[in-house]
Amino acid sequence: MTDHDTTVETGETGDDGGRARRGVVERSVEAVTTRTGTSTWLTTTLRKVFPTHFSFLWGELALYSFVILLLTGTYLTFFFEGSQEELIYAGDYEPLRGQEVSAAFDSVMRISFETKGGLLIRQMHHWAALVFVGAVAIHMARVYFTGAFRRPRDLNWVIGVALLVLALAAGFTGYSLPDDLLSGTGLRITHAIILSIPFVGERLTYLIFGGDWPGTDIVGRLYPVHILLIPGLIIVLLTVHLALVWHQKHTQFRGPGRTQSNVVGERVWPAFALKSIGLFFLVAAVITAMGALFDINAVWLYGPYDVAEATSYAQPDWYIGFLEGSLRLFPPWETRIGGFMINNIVYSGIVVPTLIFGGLFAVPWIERRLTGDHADHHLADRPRDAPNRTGIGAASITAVTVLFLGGSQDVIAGTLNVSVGRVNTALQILFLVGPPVAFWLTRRSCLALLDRPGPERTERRAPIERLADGGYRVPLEVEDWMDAGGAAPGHFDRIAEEHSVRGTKQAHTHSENARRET
Amino acid sequence: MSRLSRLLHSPVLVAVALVGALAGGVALAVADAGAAPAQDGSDGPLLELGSELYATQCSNCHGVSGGGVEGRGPTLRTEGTAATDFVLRTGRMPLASPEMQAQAGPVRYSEEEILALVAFVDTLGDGPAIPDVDPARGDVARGGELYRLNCAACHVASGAGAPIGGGRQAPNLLDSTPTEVGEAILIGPGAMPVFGALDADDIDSIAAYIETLDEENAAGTSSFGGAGPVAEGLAAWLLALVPLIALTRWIGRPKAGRDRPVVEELDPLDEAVADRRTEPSADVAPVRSEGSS
Amino acid sequence: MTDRPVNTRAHRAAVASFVVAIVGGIVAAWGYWSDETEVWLGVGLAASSGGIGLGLVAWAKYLDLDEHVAQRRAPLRTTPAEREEFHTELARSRATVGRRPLLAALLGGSLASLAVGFVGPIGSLGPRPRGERDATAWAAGRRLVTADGEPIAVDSEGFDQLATVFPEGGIGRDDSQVVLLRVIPGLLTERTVARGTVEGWVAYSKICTHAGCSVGLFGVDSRPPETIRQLVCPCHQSVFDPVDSARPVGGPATRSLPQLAIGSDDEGFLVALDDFDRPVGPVAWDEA
Repeated sequence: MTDHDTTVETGETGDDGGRARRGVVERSVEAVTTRTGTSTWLTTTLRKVFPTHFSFLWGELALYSFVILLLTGTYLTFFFEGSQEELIYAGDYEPLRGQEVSAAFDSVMRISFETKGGLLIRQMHHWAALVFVGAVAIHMARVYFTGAFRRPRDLNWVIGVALLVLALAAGFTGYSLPDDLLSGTGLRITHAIILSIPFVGERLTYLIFGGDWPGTDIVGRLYPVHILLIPGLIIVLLTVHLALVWHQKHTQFRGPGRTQSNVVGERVWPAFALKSIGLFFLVAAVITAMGALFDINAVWLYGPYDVAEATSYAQPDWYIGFLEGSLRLFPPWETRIGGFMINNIVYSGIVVPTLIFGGLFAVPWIERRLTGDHADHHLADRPRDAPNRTGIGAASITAVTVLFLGGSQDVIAGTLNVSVGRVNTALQILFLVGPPVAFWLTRRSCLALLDRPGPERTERRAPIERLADGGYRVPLEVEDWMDAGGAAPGHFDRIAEEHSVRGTKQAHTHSENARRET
Repeated sequence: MSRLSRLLHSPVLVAVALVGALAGGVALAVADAGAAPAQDGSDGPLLELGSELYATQCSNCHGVSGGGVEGRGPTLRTEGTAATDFVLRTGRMPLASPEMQAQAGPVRYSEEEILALVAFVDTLGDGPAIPDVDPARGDVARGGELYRLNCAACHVASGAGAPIGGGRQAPNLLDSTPTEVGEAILIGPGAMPVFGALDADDIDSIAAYIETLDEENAAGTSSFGGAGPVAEGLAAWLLALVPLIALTRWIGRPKAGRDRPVVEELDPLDEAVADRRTEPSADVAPVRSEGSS
Repeated sequence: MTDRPVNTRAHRAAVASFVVAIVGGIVAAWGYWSDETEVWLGVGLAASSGGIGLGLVAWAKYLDLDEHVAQRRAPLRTTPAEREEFHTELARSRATVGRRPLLAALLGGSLASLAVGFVGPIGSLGPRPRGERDATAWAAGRRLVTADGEPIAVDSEGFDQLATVFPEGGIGRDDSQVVLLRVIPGLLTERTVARGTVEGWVAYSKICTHAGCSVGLFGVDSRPPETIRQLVCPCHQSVFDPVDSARPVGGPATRSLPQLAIGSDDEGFLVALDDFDRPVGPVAWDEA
């Protein structure tokens, strides 16, 4: 056996070496690496450096919520029955006893009231789903606003947006499984949207639902999609996503000693790994606490989905709210051509989401088109460093937020005690007016922030000296300066051209300095 | 003085005229009140109290004889005891202004006053009587079905109440008594329609079901006022994501900011690979080293 | 690693966190058996995970592990020579396998044909639409009944009444759900009456023509100067006018709710005069 011959020269454990002191874990790992020739690879991996900015951890929030979803979800599959077969509820919750319910609903009731700890796991699972999509959203926002989606990470961006779509699909299929009034209503709406697709709509609904609405198949079909297809796809894409981050290395913000060709931070082992694992436990703790203390989707109040029943405050889980808002706020437009009709919900339920996600997928290419920048980027921008990009991002977030508000328009109206119609109109106006205003405001703020004189947080400019005549001096060679994360020659000229005279004086001084140094 | 003027000044004539006017007034009042039902003696003081209260508290908007006043209050001639009992016991009446939605609030009258007004308004006309609602007689499960079929669209599955258009709100049901539930179903107060197809059994069942909504949450964990997924989404952001973001700020923040000096320069272990790659886009001949990793 | 004095506060915090974690696990185990399982099991587990998390992070951040190092980043470039190599390899395949265009085309055709073979099984997922959506369970003479099967008498008291009804013999059929209203007869418009109403009773399909939810909300707003009656769908707040053929007057709906023509039978109960004159609820693109 060759493992006895392998010697570790760089005493990683920091003690006086000696084989007797190596623990079980170390020896087991060695057993694997010597059989696969991966010892060097493993050592490299352990020494790999990751940058430590806190916003880089948001992707991990999503990852760990997903892990909790998998764990709690697996537990639930031991109890859940994915069938619409009708039976009489005879369980512990009195107000529904004797009621005709589907096996799916019945199993969820049993999990909630008869399985000890079942309700906790179920509520953890559902809260984790809400947190998962939220974490994906803020992670995506971070990547966008720091320009980390640019080459070579545009590939990973596309995979990331695909993961977002899959997360939404997982959530939707998941909350539709209990077959309660709320999710049944959501399925009804989905059916209507698919039905409205020109040419293939009706046939598609028959294929998906196994016939006309409501049918007896849909819950049974969503179940394998939710527990196998979608998680499988997410795991595969997530693996590629992480592998790319690993291989391409993470971006980092500019700063002293940080260049396009290095990574500054901490090594995977032990610092980064321990913090990461700690974060996993913290995510688990927060989600467990939510599941322990707060109701979510109390299906016993909604009752089983039944014909002709309806409830107000009928919203989907928060992350589908943008679609709900689109359906509610979109004006009652319909297009008739001959005997055919492009339904209102084609616009609000298909076109709008397509535009949103199409736009998301296309971000790297839109950026390339607008900036003409095809270079590789390993340094992250601060949002202010790219005023137009940040402005467009703010405008998009505003538009989508208005849609989310639109999805809750009756709750808003009820809370503020105003008429729903008025809330509607206000939000429709806000949708049109808000984004341009947000773009302009954000862009102005970015430029104003860029403009600020003084050496405070000036990572993009290396240490700056103030001269006696009031100008600034950057005491570095231009190439070093670029490498250190500073600006290219002419950069400040460009900024000065872009906006008003206010910044020109300083910008000119900087660029003069730059030219002086060359 | 002429004979006519002597007649006109006669005290007898005056007396007759006065009596006649009084009788006429009484006759008008009685006629105005509609067919007065046979009253037994025990109602007497109650009706008197009721009549007094009505005259001072209600007639301003509902008319002296309950006929209603244009622009202020509807007629009470078709309202029976159920309607009066409902609006008084839930504090909906007196209503400050006809534009406002009558909402449940503090009860303004004592038990005796309520009974008096109910009895009095009953004499003004005809309408549904106070139902006899007993949740114990009802079937909770059936009540739930009926609730979701008829009530949940406005009052929400959890009983929380929701807006119904035009700035009106269907109220929260968790504090309603079974009798109030029955009365509301029968009379359709305010913006609520009348649910004539529901019989006494149905009302018992629905009342029984609403009682279960009233109990402390069945699961033992707390809901967010029954407002549903919107509240849950907000909670996920404010109670989970925001603390998690704060935690990442704690975890990830480098202790001394970005100006910390770099302590060590590590090279990737694979020196050959690193060296070969330092020249971006330079035309470097490929190094085919045999058996390199 | 530079020699650093042990950060006592952090050390104590880490110790405390792990102790809390240990206690949490025990609380969880005990909590499982308690009456309020969800709360105590959950709080215990949360305390346990949280304690471990806080302890680990405190350890990593403040004790011995804090570091700030740099590592060279290998540029992710391929040299032109490497790309040449790749193209050369591909060219090699073109020189061999690529010389058989006929075979390649036939291979493509076979794969496509194989895919076509799967169309059948995919089609088994659902039957062909056979016009089921063109008719509901309503027909002339069918009585309107509640979900319990009780018919509705024409002279049932109360105005601004609301009920959910089905055809007798078709209770619970989703496409036949009807919302039945009674308003003061003079309020109904001519075309509503012309379609078929009885003494203020009017019936519409309960399925919203926007996205299919049940339109269960009937609001009678009797604020001066006039009473506004609205049929509102709780899903997306589409508003229909109940006295005027349920035409859409607010919200995203674009088509009115189909009206069910009703009359009365000899025994004074409400009956349908006919099925709906168009498909109910949300429709496909060619069902307009």
